[in-house]
Amino acid sequence: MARIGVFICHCGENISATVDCPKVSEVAAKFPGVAYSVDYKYMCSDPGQSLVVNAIKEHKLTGIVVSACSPRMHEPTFRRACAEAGLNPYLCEMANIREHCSWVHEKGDRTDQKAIDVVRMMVEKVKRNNALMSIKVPVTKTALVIGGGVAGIQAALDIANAGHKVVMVEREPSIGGHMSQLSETFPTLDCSQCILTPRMVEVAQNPNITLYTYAEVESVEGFVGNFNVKIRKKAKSIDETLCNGCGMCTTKCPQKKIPNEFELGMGNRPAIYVPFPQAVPNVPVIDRLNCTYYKNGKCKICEKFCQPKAIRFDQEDEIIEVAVGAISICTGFDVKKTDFFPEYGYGKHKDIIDGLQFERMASASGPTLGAIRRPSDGAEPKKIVFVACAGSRDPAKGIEYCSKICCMYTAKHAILYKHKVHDGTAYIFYMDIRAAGKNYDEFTRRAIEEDNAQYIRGRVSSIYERDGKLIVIGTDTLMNHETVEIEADMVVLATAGVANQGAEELAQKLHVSYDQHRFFSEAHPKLKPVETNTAGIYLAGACQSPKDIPESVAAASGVAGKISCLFSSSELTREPLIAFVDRIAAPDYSSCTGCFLCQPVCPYNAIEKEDIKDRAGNLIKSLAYINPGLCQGCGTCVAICKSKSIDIDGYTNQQMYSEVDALLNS
Amino acid sequence: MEEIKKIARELLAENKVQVVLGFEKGTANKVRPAFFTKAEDIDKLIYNEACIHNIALYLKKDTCQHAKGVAITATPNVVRSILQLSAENQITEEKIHIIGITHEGKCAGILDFKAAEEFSKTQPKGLKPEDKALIEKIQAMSLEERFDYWVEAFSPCIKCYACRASCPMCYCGKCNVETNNPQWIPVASHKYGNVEWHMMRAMHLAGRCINCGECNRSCPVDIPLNILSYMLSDFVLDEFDSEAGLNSVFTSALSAYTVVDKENFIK
Repeated sequence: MARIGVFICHCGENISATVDCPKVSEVAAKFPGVAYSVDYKYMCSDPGQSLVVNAIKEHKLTGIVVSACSPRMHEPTFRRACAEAGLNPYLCEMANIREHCSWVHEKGDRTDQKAIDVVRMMVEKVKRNNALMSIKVPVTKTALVIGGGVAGIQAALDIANAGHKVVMVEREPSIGGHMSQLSETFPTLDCSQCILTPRMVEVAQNPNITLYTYAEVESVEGFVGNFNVKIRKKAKSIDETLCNGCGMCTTKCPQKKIPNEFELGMGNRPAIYVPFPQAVPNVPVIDRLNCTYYKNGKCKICEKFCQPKAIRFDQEDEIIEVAVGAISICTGFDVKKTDFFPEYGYGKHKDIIDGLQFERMASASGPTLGAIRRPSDGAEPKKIVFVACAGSRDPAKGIEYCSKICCMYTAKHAILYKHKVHDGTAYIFYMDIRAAGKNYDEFTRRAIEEDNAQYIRGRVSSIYERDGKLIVIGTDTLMNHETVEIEADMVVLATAGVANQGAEELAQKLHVSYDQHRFFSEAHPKLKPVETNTAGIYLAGACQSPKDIPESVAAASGVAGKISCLFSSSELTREPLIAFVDRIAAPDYSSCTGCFLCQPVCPYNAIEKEDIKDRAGNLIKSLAYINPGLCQGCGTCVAICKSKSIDIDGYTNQQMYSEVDALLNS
Repeated sequence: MEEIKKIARELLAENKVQVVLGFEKGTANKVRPAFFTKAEDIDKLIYNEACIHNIALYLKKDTCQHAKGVAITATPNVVRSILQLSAENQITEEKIHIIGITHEGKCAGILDFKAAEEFSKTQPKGLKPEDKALIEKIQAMSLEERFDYWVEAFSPCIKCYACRASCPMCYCGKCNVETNNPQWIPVASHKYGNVEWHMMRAMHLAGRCINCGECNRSCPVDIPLNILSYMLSDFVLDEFDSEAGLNSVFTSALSAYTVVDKENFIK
């Protein structure tokens, strides 16, 4: 006979201001099987917990329902209280009457009734709970960092410096990410390369970090503490162990006119190339699509000039398998290109560039060596227009969010422009100046007050070309909505920051969720900003949403902290709320038919084949078997199983059914 | 016909199979499924246009389960069933000898699974003109009308479970409807209880049904269950580019995920 205890918490006034707690307690006391019911102001407080512990002992309770906040908040607290009183912790259930009742309803009888119903459901459930034992799993103390931008670099260095091994995978031939493309950084105007490249070198030199560039994650299996990752190391056509980075091959390559991706098409590169001079590792790759040898079967000039004989034309992609315990996604973002904007000429005007292209132009190592020049004729632009919110905050373009970094970098661009073209004028069309951050507003004021940036609050409706000039038609909402027409030499669009290419595919490989804009989703927007919903997989940087450098770095250090915590012990304790296949008497052994339709739906590859054999070793039946170390208790297999042969401990079909039954038959 | 008999006789005589699944003459000029275990009995094996039952069903019965080798006279419906059963790990290729019979009633010889897959692709599904008319009628309905149509169509159901018993894909030892802890599906045959049963069965068959129409043929109250399954199969083909009964390896639309799945409902 069940002896259930019900504990109704007031949560200060969070619950009791709306729900009549003493009444709920009174009604609950009369539910069949309830031996004890009480309400209390703060059940999670020390005296509250003592109340629970003493009641369990005194009334010999066989299960308890704590009717309070979300189980995410205090379930562990009350499970511990149960354990302290000698009751199996999994005989504790939470009935959420805060988030599900008091916070979402008005005071009244119907709210009280709902609270009573919620408690009734959980009483019916807990009657059918079984005592369960926790599961322990080992932890592999190696972290995988996907992406070698500033976030990835920070995460990798912090984890490595905490004494753990790190594997870093970068898609491009060099680490560095977008930050390595930037000229100077706001709000201090320190040179991006000067602060980043030492960190890049640190990554390469840290003995705890294994770096794979020109590589991508092929597949991920396993679960927190025990991931198995396959990395595809694309063929660089170079033996990295032999290459000494002399650069002879890149100067001798006869292909010179390939648009340089690092310069965003504003410069050229050879077919064998390093993306930029400070690249880490300083090893070139052969772009097989453009290489004369791969196209025509003849050339091999680089091989002839390579002194250490490092060129390998027959090199193939290599699959590397690594075991890791945690994964940090730091894959960054991308920006919309100018061809996204029909009103600004679909990218056909050469003198309309995006913000990232301006960064390269302003960079001392860029295609113009830092000089601001019109891409069309190389002339110095005397009138330049910056358009903020190009695409961002525009539901019509499908990008309703703020790209966050553009206000600041546009102010920076105006300053840099003025520093380089003293007699020029910079106009900035903006919607709002969003400069929240340490020294950020001061920075935009500096652009306006010291560097004479002409801020015009309004949007640009169209840009067209007339006599070699770009005619920018906008409006000034602070000047009676007058139409503004500027005859500009050059236009820079602060195009929207968007999710990086391949983000969706990567999310699917890792089984993490992503939002409608293909940015990865955090587990909780406030309390778990760097975790994903998949245990052991974390997020840092602009792959989550547009972020500036300080934010990306802070998030990356946060991830490193989380991963270091995870690696602080050699075993993980896991909740035993996992699926199992039923067993029945011979000759059936199980109602499982062995169709294995459950196998492909399992996101954790936890379902294996188990053979039932007779004593002579003859096969009687093959059944599904769920590996308890791998199962995460998501329940997808339960849903797909036609014969209802799979159930989950703690959430059995019978428990769920009893809850629904209690609700419908109240 | 003689060719089929010759193959069956040889298989039994050489002990490659212990059972031949086929048809024999029944009472009152009807045919009935039969298990042949001796070569001399093969004279009684028949095949004609009346032999429409999907005998793949019997592959999961004890006589076949315990035999080391089984031969089966297989019309296109039977071949599709066999491939789907193999895809769901219920039978293995080594054990099954398919004696193929085309939709025109011609012997296609012994088919291995690879040949059976090719065979399946070339054979038409036997959709009758009245079935097509009904599908068109249902497709013209609004969602509410469709639901009402099916509630009405299921209402004469007496829950004899003949549909389940005749279905080669309903091979679960313990059917969901027999689960009583908890009792998901009500036992009594009342209006919405009937809907629950048939909806559950339809969902379990989505992407797995090979459209033999046996459920409808066996139904004593003539519920057009084959239309329900057919429309579901059509939907699965359209949404997931997957069709049951064409592959002997796993391709379940509802279990498998590929990046090209449209997933429009969450975008």
